[in-house]
Amino acid sequence: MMKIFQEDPTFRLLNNSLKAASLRHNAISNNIANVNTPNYKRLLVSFEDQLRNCLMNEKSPVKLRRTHPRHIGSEMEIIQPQVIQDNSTSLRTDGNNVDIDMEVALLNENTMRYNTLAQTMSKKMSLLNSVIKGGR
Amino acid sequence: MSLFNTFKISASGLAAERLRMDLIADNIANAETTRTAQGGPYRRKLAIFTPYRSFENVLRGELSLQGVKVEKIVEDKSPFKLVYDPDHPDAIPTGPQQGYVQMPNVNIVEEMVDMISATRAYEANVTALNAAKSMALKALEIGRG
Repeated sequence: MMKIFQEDPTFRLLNNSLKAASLRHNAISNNIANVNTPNYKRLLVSFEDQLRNCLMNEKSPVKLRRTHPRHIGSEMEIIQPQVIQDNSTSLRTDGNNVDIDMEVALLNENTMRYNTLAQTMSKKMSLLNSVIKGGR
Repeated sequence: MSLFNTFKISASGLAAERLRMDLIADNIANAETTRTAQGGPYRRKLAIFTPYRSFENVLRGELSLQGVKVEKIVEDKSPFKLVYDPDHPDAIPTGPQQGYVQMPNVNIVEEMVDMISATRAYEANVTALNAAKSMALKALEIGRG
């Protein structure tokens, strides 16, 4: 029974994506909190691009192990969200490279992404619920 | 707990900006103060912010996601303004600057600009806090059917 949750790729992927969105929210909050800190460099979270690379590139170090050619790989949870520091040039004299407009835009985008993922998770649960109840 | 950590990060930003606001209010209130407990006119105060890093973060050389903290409050060391007013009780009695009064090094225009910046930064932190709240409520809906 527990295999439904542990080995279902959808659950795992949703779980990791939710984790990534949550971490990204932390990073954006941190950037906004430090908007007036001299020499602070903004932090960002890389997850979706890693996932995309993993899915696109067959020769990537994160190989998808498959038992059937049409399966989505079960090794996907190797990809963990990572916090990266953006050391690119600053447009400000205090050495801080946080752009408040961009951070707020990213914040809204991330919230919507999180809500979408939560909704998808909810739907997945209701599908399971429907199976458990025998479609009644 | 990642969720409550988010609230803590935004709260640290709110607290820091509020403190900056307090200092600006103090500076404006004391823009004409010529006597202080330390002697001499009032010096403009400003807050130094730094990203919060715990000892563990520094030890492991990792990036921290724990918000901002106020490192210290420093005094602006720039020279005082001189205003000619020989009848003022704090006027310099002798020397080449005789009759001049040392006024605080507070520039009202600068304080106003800082105030707008602090207000906007505060609002941005409130936005982040509200977004965290809506995300948390959405997460509670998972599995509700």
